[in-house]
Amino acid sequence: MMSLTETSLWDAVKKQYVFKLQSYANFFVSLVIVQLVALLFSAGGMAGTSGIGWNNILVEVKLYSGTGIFIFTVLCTLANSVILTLPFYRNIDFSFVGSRLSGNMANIGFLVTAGLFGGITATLGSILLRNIHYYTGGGGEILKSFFMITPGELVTGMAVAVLYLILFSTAGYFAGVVVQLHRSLLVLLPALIVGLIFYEAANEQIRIFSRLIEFFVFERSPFHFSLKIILIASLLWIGAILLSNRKEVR
Amino acid sequence: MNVIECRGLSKRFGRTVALHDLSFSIKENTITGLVGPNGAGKTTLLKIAAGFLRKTAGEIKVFSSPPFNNLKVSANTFFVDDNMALPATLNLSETLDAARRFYPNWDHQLALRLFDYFSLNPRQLHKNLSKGMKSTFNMIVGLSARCALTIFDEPTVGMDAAVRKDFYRALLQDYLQHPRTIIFSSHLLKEIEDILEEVLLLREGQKRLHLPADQLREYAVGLRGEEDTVKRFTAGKEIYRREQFGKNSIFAAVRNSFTKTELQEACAAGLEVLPVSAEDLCIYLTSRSRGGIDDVFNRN
Amino acid sequence: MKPIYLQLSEWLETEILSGNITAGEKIYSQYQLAEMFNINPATAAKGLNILADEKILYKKRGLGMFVSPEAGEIILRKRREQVRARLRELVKEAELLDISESELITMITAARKRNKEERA
Repeated sequence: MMSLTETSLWDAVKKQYVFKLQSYANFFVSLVIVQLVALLFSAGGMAGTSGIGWNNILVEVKLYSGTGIFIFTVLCTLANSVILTLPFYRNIDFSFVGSRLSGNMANIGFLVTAGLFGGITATLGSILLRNIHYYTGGGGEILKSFFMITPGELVTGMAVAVLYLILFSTAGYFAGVVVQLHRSLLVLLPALIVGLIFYEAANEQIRIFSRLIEFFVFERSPFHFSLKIILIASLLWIGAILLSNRKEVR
Repeated sequence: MNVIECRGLSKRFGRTVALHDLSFSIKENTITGLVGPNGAGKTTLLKIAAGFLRKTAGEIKVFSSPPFNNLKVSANTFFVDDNMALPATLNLSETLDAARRFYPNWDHQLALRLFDYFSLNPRQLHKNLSKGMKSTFNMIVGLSARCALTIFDEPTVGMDAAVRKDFYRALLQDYLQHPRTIIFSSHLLKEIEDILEEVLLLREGQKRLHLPADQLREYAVGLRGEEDTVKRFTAGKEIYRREQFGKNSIFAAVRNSFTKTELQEACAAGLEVLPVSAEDLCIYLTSRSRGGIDDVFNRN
Repeated sequence: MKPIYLQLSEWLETEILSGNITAGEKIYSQYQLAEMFNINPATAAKGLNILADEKILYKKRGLGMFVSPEAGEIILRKRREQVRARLRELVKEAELLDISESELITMITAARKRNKEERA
């Protein structure tokens, strides 16, 4: 007689997580490539504007470039989180051992890992960009006082980037799970979001998105900021788990 | 002990009834063939048993638990079909290694030997395999996982006759060495009936027969000869199939509840007594008309 | 079509009759038979059980099945009965075709002669 194997939830999650890291290793490679491309674009921007009045424009380019890498990282992570919810990728979870809960938890683990990786590389990328500025652009007097950052600032910068990436990927994952509930939501959900944005832009009184952005961006306390993101992300994760827990697969 | 137990199991997709009031049980360490025409509900039943689909009504238990979204059932069940989703980034050898980590009973030696025997290329990507090669690979993973319940849903799609034969042999050999519960859905009953212990025949989402496989060949008998004589001998019996033969002759397949003397009398009355193969029986029992395809052409 | 387990039990009988397996010897297990004939072991067990019911084989608890001392005798008796039954059918057929008794006997003698020649 074949004895039954006992598998704990945690065990299944770990195995699925490792499987995902191995299967989707190319995500990390493509993310770095995207970041390098963003870096190149940003560096190119600097070269183009270097001919005219140095001081003003340099400040602008710097601001733009650091954000450029981050925006590309966000887009890449967001796309990745939505892809994970597509039926084919969801079904991979059920080729081997797993439940809906364990698959979702492994996905969360993977997205957090991707957020950590993306946040750290994006921050390092923007520092690299500053260095490129400094050494190729000749780095004027004014630059220097803002140039050096303390290790504390570096870590805070990374942490903020990581937390934002986790927030975005979680939102993307949640949206993906919602869309998978019914075909029509693929059209309805984006339409709803875009519609609300336009509606808000047209009406002074409606302030849904701006409030949402203020909720995170205007938070000055790092502790509260982290707490807010973890809280919202957890709610979205729980929502995604509950929504997909009854879903039929394969 | 029963590995699967169903009572009044039903499944609807919207308004379509896929399974209707299905009751049966599958004993531990048996090989069961699940047969029936397309759309009979075979795949739906197997996917419910594997925990992928939800039942609509009734009861199903696998390893004594409801299978839907059940980690214990998933850990002890392997489901092989022709659209197994595997990461497009892993080659075959990496996929084997990944599968291995999920199953404590995994036999890697067996996997590698089968891999070699069927000359699969370890560097190839799963998505680039031909249909037959994909089926072969999936079958290797399914056998090597050594799960207490192994489900093969039409596992031979695209395989050529020689590979199919090897597969049936490999399945039997591995089963003899490591007995476990295997369910095998297939259209090719003739090819697999010898290695089956039981046959479960579905028709339009309902159970039509559930019998030891070796009784299937004796289940029905065909009588051929003069129409009136055949009618006399088959009176009161359910006729599974009736075909016109020449001017006054017919062939009728009925339940084989005749005694030996009755059959001898039939012979003496000039009737031919013909065996009905398991495959033919299943076709007769699941076809919509008693005359088969000929009914389309004979309109009188 | 003859069920596989009957084909199997007849094959085993022939093995015993021809002396390939002798009285008191252990017979193949259901698993060995399943592997040899590429059939389900439950079917193989059915073949063995038929022979056990007919006292051609006997079970030793935990050890398997063995050929009983009187196996040869039982099989011979059974096979003779089968020949007799087939002969009855043959005779019936002959009657239907108006073949006389002496003609039938001549035919049997001729068939035996031909078999002997073929074997030589």
